[in-house]
Amino acid sequence: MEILRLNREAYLPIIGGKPCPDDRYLNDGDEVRLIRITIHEEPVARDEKDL
Amino acid sequence: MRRICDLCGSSDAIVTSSSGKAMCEGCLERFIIRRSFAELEASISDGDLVVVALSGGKDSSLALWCVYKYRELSSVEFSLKAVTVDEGSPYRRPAIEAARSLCRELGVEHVLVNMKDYQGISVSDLLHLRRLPNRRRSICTYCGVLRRQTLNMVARELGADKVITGHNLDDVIQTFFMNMVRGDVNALARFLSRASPIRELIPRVRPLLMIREKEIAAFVIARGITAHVGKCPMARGMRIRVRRALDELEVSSRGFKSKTLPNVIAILDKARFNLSKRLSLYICEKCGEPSAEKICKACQLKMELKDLA
Repeated sequence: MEILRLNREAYLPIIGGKPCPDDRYLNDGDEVRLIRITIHEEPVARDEKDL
Repeated sequence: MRRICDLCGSSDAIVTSSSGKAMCEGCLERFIIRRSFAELEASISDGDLVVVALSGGKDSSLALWCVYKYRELSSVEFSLKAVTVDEGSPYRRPAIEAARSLCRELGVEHVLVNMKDYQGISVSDLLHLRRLPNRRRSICTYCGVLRRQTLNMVARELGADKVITGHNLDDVIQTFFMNMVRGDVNALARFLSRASPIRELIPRVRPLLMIREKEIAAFVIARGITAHVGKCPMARGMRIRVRRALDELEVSSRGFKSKTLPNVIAILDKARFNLSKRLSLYICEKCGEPSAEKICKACQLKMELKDLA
């Protein structure tokens, strides 16, 4: 994740259809998918005025 | 090469916890059950009608799964229903289908309502506007406020005693920081309070309060819980910027989020009495719904839209 400059909190690696920890070693032929974890909008959704 | 679970030694870890320990599916399940059941035990009583706010996304789907398991395993006897508010966004179709399927699998009654029937406006109506009435508001403002009010209205119609939401550790920390930045004392005083200040507002329970979003995603995928895992293409606003900043902090100081939450709870518990002196929850003069102001945010937004028409 660090090499790809992706924040490990925002992405979940999936190898062979199963989630896996960020520090797992890869084998030859592993197919890795990175799922961006949903941004949940509730419970605050107010004005943009403050930032 | 598979990663070994740091808790039980099995060779199939699926996620890294905030303390840096890798956990397998079984250990993650015990972790989720322990934390979510503690919240549910503190909130649900015999005879309650519990309504789960089910969007069909991973968080609310796991929240429903946890409440379902709790009903199965605990001695507390309560009724359970799930409510999905269709706000009319094209993005929501797959999530609504997921919500319907999950309820069918678990045998839980599913109530699907259209936001337009309650609020007179849907997200797709907003998308057809040439511009939003207030440039400082994003579409998430309208969607979030109107959806939240609709949920409370439906829960009240059903006679619910508690509303379960899928808010997780990440959501709660983000909300705390956002309310701090805005200096929103009312929101801070109400934040994480289990009791509802007025009868019209059904008390909310957050069983996933102590669970990171990443742990939720990993468990939902590994266990095959029916849920839509995707990002709303319309999501924007301050929350995303706050989220990114907090994610950076979590990476540079592992465990930042889970260490922060107990401190947030402790600060709010001590400060709530003083904060509550300034807290007032009204009944909206226009629609009769609970509100932090004399006219609720939903009515304010609808008035802005009416002005535009």
